Amino acid sequence: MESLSARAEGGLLWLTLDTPGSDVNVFDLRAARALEHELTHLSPDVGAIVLSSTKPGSFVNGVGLMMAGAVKAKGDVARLTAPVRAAYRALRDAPVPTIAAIHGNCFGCGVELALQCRHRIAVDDGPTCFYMTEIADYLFVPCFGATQDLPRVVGLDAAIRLVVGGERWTAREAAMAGLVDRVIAPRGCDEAIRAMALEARAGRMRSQRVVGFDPESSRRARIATATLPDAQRGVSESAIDLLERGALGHDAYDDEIVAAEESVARPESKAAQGFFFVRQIAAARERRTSVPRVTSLVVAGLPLLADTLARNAPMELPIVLAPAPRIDPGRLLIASSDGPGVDVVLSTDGKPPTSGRVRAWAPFLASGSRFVEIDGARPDGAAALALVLQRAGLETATTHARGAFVSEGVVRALLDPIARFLKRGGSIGAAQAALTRLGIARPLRTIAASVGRPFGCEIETTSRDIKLDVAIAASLIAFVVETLASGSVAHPASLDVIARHGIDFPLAHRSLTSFATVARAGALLEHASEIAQLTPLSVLDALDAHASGGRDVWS
Amino acid sequence: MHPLDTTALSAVIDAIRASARHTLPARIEPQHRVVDDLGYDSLGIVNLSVALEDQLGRPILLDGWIGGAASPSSLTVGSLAQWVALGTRGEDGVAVGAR
Repeated sequence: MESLSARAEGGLLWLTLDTPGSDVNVFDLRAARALEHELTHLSPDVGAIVLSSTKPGSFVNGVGLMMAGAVKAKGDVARLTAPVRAAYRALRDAPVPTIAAIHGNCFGCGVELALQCRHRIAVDDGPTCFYMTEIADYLFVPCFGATQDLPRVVGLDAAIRLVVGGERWTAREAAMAGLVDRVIAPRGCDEAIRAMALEARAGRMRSQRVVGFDPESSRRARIATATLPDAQRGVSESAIDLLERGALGHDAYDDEIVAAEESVARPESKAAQGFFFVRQIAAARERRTSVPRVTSLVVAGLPLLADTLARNAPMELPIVLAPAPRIDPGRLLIASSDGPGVDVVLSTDGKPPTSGRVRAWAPFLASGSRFVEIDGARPDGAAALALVLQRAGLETATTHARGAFVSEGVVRALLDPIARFLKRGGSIGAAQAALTRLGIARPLRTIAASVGRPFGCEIETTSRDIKLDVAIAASLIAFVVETLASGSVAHPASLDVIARHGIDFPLAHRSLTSFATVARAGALLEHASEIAQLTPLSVLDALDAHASGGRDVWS
Repeated sequence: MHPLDTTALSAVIDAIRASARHTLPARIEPQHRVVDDLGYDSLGIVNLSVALEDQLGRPILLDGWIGGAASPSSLTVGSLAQWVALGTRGEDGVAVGAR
């Protein structure tokens, strides 16, 4: 099997990505060499080139983190990515019209690959999603031209939102921004792509380009970036500098490589790259080999979840949204081909559900985290629900917290020391500053509201020297120790995913359970008196036990 | 360089057999390159981590092993076995043992 197949037909060259042995396309060195070979051996009969994918749900998901992981020194990015760069250049310099036909995830370097084509068309369905992973997930500057090409195609404001803000765009949103020239329906999309390719070959297809420099959008982005934790601020500012130069028409591709190299080699980026593996291990442990084939899903009420499902579910999964007269609001009914329907009670507000055969809770949807915790007390029903939600692009964690939810626990472990701090006269501003020092960017009010604990009361502020960040770190480590000992999560990686969604646990520490080392517990015990002022004694006990007889979670 | 830990090597080879999605050579050798010869990409490495965890009885992350190589092509079965052995014994050479 090859990473890229080529088929010439009627003056069109169809180049199709299909990474062997993988569920998604990875534009690795093999694909890069194959693409460059095809483009440098073009037959004179070829009048237009279509680049697409046969992988369901994936156009290109990445270049592979293996290369990023190997970058250590100056020159490494250019050296390691040279074949990918050569392929991108060959695509950009192709002598005939090129069209990226995007169906499925178009992530990171996939967006940059599509930007090398003269035209982009996207299939309008759930899996088609444009997302720049580099800063949002890995804290490094992209290195295949995004900071230069994107602002010239979509304008500076949209480019900042995609590259720095970590926005995810549907096909229609990408079209509105100008990233894709046309959106086509999934049914009959192959014929539509062929018709457009013939149009492009005849020179009749025009691209919409928005070119311009808007100083206001850059000023706004710089204000928003200034208050971010250090690890995010540095890489975001570096990207905004480059995006501005891209919008102004400067040729800063080489500087982009230098910025990518500097950012990707930093410890915080290496840690963030490590979280990719944590998250994928959690997903692998969450997958079950035998689950019933789901035939339909009825959602009653739950506007936030219903909206997410409607936007993201693959078209082969029939979803009936409210009104559904036969089931109560807040319930999901999953019908399967081999058994009775699974009745689920799912809550998306600050209160976890207390009844239902299968209970699930998505408290962080309102803050943009597409995550659902599922009570695994009934394994088959939980597995069916997890499958449905995962296929709609939501992340799930199945837990066994016996009535409670780990999502609530992790938020409370963060909020409890803060509540005590406020009672003692600390200010919300000081509490937010402590979160920033820990690397957490999400506003305190948003985190608290997700579990129904608004911090609304007026606090009289006095100046007190209490190390709140130390107490929060201690409270979180104690929570990790207790949660893993209780068996509430099947795997530590699940707890890490919950903490990432629930409290924006910083990528710069890789993950919450990576943070909870024996050495860190020992170091925190040196601040025992400050910790005791803001946490119950059980926190110090747990720290002490971990420091003296515990073991690091990951080796 | 330490001599290869045969227990770690055999755990790595078993994990590769359990997780590979490509046709493997009849005999897996320490010098086989995990990316170039055995076809692993980053998602394949995730499956390898899960299979290794099943072998070793403790969670294992391979980002440190990847980060230690000059390029993905220099990641070998032998270097992974050495990395796994280091994690099992601890930096001071004392066995940490399975969970």
